[in-house]
Amino acid sequence: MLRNYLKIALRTLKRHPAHTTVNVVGLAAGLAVCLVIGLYVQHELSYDRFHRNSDRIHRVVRADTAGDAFGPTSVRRLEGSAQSPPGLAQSLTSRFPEVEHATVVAPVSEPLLGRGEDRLYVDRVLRADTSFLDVFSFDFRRGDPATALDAPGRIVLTESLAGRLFGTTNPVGKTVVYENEAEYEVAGVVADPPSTSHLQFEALLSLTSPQRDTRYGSTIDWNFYGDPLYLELQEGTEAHALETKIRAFERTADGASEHSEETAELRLQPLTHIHLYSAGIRGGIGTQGDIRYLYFFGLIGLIILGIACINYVNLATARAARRAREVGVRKTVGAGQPQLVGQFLGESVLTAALALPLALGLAWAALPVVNDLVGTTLRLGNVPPIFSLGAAMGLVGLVGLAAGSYPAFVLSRFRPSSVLERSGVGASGGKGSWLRRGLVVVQFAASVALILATVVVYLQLQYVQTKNLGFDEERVITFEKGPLGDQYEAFATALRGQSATHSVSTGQPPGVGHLRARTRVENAITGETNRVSVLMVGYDYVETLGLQLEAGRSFARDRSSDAEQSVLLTESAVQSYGLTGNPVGQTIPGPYGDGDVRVIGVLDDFHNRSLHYARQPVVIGIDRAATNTALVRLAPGAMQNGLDAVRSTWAEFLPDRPFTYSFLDQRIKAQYRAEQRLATLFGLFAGLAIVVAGLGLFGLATFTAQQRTGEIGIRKALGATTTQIAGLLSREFLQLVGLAVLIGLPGAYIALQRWLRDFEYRVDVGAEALVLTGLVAMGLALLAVSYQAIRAARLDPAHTLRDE
Amino acid sequence: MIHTRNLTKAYRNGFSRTFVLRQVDLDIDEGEFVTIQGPSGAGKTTLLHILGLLDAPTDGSYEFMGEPVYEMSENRRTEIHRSQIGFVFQAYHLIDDLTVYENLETPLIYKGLSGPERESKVADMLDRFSLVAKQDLFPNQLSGGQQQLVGVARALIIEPTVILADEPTGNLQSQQSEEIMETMTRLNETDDVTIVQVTHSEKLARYGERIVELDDGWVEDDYQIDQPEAVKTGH
Ligand SMILES: Nc1ncnc2c1ncn2[C@@H]1O[C@H](COP(=O)(O)OP(=O)(O)OP(=O)(O)O)[C@@H](O)[C@H]1O
Ligand SMILES: [Mg+2]
Repeated sequence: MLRNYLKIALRTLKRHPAHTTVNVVGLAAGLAVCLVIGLYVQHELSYDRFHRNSDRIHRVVRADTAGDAFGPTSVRRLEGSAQSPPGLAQSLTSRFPEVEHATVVAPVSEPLLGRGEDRLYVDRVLRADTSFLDVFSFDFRRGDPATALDAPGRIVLTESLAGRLFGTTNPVGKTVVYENEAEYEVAGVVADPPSTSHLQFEALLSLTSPQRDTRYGSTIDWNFYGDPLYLELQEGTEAHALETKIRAFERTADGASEHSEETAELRLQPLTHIHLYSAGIRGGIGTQGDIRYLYFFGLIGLIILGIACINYVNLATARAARRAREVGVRKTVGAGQPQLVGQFLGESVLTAALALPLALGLAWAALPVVNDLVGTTLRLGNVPPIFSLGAAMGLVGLVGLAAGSYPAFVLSRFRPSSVLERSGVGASGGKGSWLRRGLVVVQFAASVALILATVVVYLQLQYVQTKNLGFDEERVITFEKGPLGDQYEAFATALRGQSATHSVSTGQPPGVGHLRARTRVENAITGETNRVSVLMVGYDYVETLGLQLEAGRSFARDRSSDAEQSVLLTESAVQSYGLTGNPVGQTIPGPYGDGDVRVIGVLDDFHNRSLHYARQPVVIGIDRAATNTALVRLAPGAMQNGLDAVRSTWAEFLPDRPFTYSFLDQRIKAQYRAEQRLATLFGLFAGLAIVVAGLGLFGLATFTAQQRTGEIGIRKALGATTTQIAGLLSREFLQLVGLAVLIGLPGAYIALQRWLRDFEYRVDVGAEALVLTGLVAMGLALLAVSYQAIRAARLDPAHTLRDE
Repeated sequence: MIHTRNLTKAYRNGFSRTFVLRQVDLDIDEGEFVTIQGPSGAGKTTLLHILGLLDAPTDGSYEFMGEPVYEMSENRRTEIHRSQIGFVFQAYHLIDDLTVYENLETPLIYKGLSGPERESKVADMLDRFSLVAKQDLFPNQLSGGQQQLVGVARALIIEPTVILADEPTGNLQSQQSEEIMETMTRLNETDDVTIVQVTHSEKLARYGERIVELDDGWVEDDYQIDQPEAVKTGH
């Protein structure tokens, strides 16, 4: 029986190549998208699960509690900082027996490592002690994890870094030079961390003694934002109960009550949440995923698969009149409803199964592109074959059932005589066609929504990338001046003397990042307190970044008072302080609470942070504790010369240290990489969705044209023109797509307005975007329908009539 | 075998009802060979569909082999189609996507016969109706007459106890028609198969032993043919 279903199904598919193609291609596209998204979701969900005790490991988070009226925030939506105060590790382990191990992990930014004469910058290095290897189960290849990091001056290399530094020789016991100054002994080799580890590193450095003392000391410095702290809990510990105890301890601990200007409380974040649920957490290690995007992409995958299934249902119901006769005959010769349902489901499952290899091929071809876009290393072989095969079969079965069950149950219920005589009442007309129309509307509404999403994401991206930030981000390079140490002033002076550089300064550049030192100021008039961002910079900061001076002057080296007692305010800061009259020359309380300072100039407001965040009022002073970031504006038209000048000057001072830098405009752009990816992915998905929906429309149009050849012939014989007939055939479809546009646009518009709320500064989505989207959808629908309509309309009437 | 009382079929037509069958009382015993005659539109096909459990009457009762059809479950009907009723359609109604061979095989598959059994029965039928050369063709590659032959063969292949044939020879040459009528007569006489056929042809009606005349939904006449022998020897 089964073989027979299969044979019949195969036969039917073969006899209707156009329908089969539309169905197979559509389902393959849907399945391919689902496969790729499935792989991605699986990858994201498996983060950090490879550790032996992953369910017992937690990260301590200082969660913001301000303004939370609904009790403690859900652990999935924590906001706050991953930087724990130094000393907390020791206090927690000694006080709570539930804490088995505690480890503090500190990222080291791009250190210079060397062996012999070779030097190289290493991307990701972590500093930690032995407890790190107790808590986390990274795969040790050489050396003993129990002792590898238990003394200062030890380094553990990953296999790939060991290869780069030592080739194939065993590095254990050999020496690595750190930052040209300290020697570290290689104490072990560990396998490269899996891509599903949020802790990515190429080397682990053991702690120096002073570092050990502060991090694992017994006094907690609540005012300090230290390094991420991870706890491994005893088996069977209720994390939530422990969290409550820790918070009780926090309230009574010495110095805890005034530990921050924000109200914060300690929370435990499960290790397996870190990758996906840390959107609101600052100061963590590694890049983050975002659970919202997982839902989002999952939804898109389902939408596209849904559109493909709708194609199947629509083509099947369109053909119902013909199939109904077959059903009648089969019932007459003894087919029961189960056999008929089986037959139709067999067809749909077979179609889905035929689509599977094509889908795998598509997914295989698409993965490199997707990996490139999303920055992943997904491969079809990433999941165990049994699992993927099972998943694929399950998917095929599911899609087959989803697409086939409506036709199957409807068709199999026909009463023989009603479908055998007189072209079948209730088969082609009536309910089936209403359902079909409804589904076409649904398909196109979803496609339209995706197109609009693409357009809006793209517009927003354009907007943030071209928005005037209030300073000139071009031709500014930034680099760490730390390695120059005391020689920095000499270096800067040497640079200033060159024509290829415009100006040189230090300080955090505006436009990037979101965390800024802030101070509370009291408005002199209203008495309310405002927050003002504090920026401590070197001389020439205003000139180097092209900030606009509105009144007064900027800092001058030759005025000794500027170094300590002068500040610049932005316009909005002037208001925060409540200064009236000409602010220049007035005195205000200094940002660090140590005496008054004089306002020497007022600047136009500028975007001191990324456009995800609101621009803040800023007070700028001359740097007291040296910032590590140097800024150089290159002279116009001499970019390459300027770069060469900086590089060769650097080499004069530090010959054994390569010069690394980045352009400020690129750093600013990089902040929107998530949106950039989103835009590209959206474009891809929206394109795919509309193509699959268009394919379905094409199939329906083909069918209608076939069905109406007789009518067309008669109309032509009566004098209708080709245009009139093509119009007749296309009109209904275009009306449906028009309706879909009317439904899809407002829905998508509302959803997109919500997405835009993520941005403090957002583009106005004007009518143009909506009209453009509508036109694109209508245009594609017209394309899908008109080919068949025109073809049918141009047939010679005698021919079509004879065919009937 | 077949008992109807007051059998009525009506179609709703706007606010009025069109009657296609009116209070038809019909009793057909096992082993009878009945011919239904009447002008076009009289309701013959409708009656046959109802007798074949393909359609439900609007009113009245119908007992098939002692079972009230009205109370039959869908499964029971399917079962009867599989093993008791062979139906020949006026419009042939072959399955377009299947070959001649497969069209004949289909009822056997639903009946649950094994592969070899099906093969021998289909081969037998193909042989009997001289369709061997056509077995791999699809219905649209056959002439109307050939399609009709396949339709008849398909009805006979399950060895039904009742054959309901709606103008089974409408498109056949007279010689072929007679061959089919003879086949049916043989089944009727040797295997006691009950046969109800619809035909316009006086001559073919004579193969039966009883004639039911239908007009505008009424049973106008219902009588035994006096000398069936005379017909048989008539040519
Ligand atoms: N679904 C329907 N709706 C309305 N009227 C119907 C329907 N089906 C059949 N009829 C009507 O019932 C009447 C009888 O039809 P039927 O097919 O039984 O006639 P017939 O005796 O078989 O005619 P013929 O000899 O031409 O085959 C016809 O007038 C037809 O129009
Ligand atoms: Mg008829």
